[in-house]
Amino acid sequence: MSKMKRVGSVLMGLFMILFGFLLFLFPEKGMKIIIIIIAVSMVAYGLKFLTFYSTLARHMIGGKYNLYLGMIILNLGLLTATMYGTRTLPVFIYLFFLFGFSGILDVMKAFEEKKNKAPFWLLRLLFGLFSVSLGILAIFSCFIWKSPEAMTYLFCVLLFYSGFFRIVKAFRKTAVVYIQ
Amino acid sequence: MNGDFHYYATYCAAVIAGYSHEEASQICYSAQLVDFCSKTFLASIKGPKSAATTQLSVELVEQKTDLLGLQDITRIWASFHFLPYDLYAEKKHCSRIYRNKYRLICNSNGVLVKDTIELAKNKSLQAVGIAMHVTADTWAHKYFAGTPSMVINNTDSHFYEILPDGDSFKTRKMKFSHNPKAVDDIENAVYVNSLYQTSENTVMNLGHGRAGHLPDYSFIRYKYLPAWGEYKEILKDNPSDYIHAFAQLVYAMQYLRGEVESFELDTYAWDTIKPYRSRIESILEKRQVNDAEDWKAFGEELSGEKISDFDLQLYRDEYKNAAKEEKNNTFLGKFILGALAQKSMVTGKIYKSGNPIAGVSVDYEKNGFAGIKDYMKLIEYSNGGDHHE
Repeated sequence: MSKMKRVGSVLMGLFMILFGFLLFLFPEKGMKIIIIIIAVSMVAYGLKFLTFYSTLARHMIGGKYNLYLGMIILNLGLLTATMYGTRTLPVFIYLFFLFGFSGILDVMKAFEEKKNKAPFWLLRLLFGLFSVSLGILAIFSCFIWKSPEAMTYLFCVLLFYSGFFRIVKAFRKTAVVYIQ
Repeated sequence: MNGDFHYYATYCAAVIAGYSHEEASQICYSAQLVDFCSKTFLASIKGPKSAATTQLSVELVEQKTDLLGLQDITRIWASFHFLPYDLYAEKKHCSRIYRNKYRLICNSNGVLVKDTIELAKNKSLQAVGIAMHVTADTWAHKYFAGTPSMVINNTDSHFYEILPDGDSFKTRKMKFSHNPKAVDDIENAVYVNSLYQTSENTVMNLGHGRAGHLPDYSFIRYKYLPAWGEYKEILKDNPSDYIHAFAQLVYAMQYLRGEVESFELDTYAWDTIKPYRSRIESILEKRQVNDAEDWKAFGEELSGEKISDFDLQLYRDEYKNAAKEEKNNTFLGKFILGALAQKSMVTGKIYKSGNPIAGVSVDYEKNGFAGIKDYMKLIEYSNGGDHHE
């Protein structure tokens, strides 16, 4: 990781923690902002994959992965945008589902890294397991507590620990396989 | 290719081509130095950083991959380690950005090999060594490009080693690990490669990183699917490629010595190496990750002289302590000029083909000097006249 990327990662981590605090203090307004940020970033991310596929990756072996991923992320981004202004509870369920899903991906990636004897696989596994368990907890909680406030606070926890992990990752030693 | 070939095998090729022990030592030292002359090394001797012929892992980690950063990486790796085969190659129905990367794929016997060898004609032994490194790498590094690119350099898990089995061959699946501390396990076919990263321009996708050190092992034969190959399997026969590389180095040095009138592509000194061919093939086919001892013993038999091991510090003080006007006449000074000339030539050819991927090149004859001031050294030297050996 270059110095610039490390600085970027620390700033992003601090931003997430700060945003967690704001959401903690002003849950209603904060949620709308979250929806906008997630929707815009997912649409942009999806379009990035689709552009990459059409300009470069369509000639690459396994390049269709970028096409499928781009379409899925773009659609999820558009779906997120439609949730702007709707009731709080379904939105949070959806957001926790997203985080839970990314947690599953992290767990899968951690096992892949372990298989390849890559360092720091345990850190990724812990991160993934925490995301998954928080997602499951939140979905169950919403049916038991039926409280948007409780969901908001859980989401704040998610932002805190995501921000914290980003900062930790920024200070991690970078190991590179160098092939000359 | 590793130090065993760039240093000891190049020494053997130089002696077979007719160079003396002292000359061959300088040539092979220069060929090996290409893998060590980083910006960090040049900074330590207060040399021009634009003469870097490689990048250390720590430099690559910190290397920006914005436009200028990518051009810097490409100038180094395409000029010295992955010489492009065809800068005007065509591929149907692709974007210009893809085509520009596709055209940087390295292969042996491209026009730039001839340009590289001819550039070293009537130049220093250091320039000869650089040309030998570049030429040898066109055999080892073929099918990869000297620019970070997932769509060109990526590979998938489809890797099979081809092993001799009596009169025929058998295949076995190869596995990869990304642990930087791990070493290649050739008995169990587990090799170290760079991490799979989905970012097009990450340094993990530079050159043959995704195929690990397989291109650097002379004994290995394998088949795989290169990212650019449209699902056509590539068979890499390293023993065959390496013997071709050796024979081409001998032929190229015969040309540089003036024993052959012109350098032609796809031409090899088969007759010259005939008495040594079985010995060379036995070294190349030996299943080991480092052939240095075998090549060294062969070289010492050829010349009857002891070959010193490569020592990066050998010429450092000579360069550092030389007066400013004398630096170009030191060993490292000549190497730096040779490196600048090679980089300038390759960058110029890439730019002239309409490809901005290695940066902008200015024709000094037409437009005068512009750009990176380190190259002024090359112009001053060229205008200086009779410094060539």
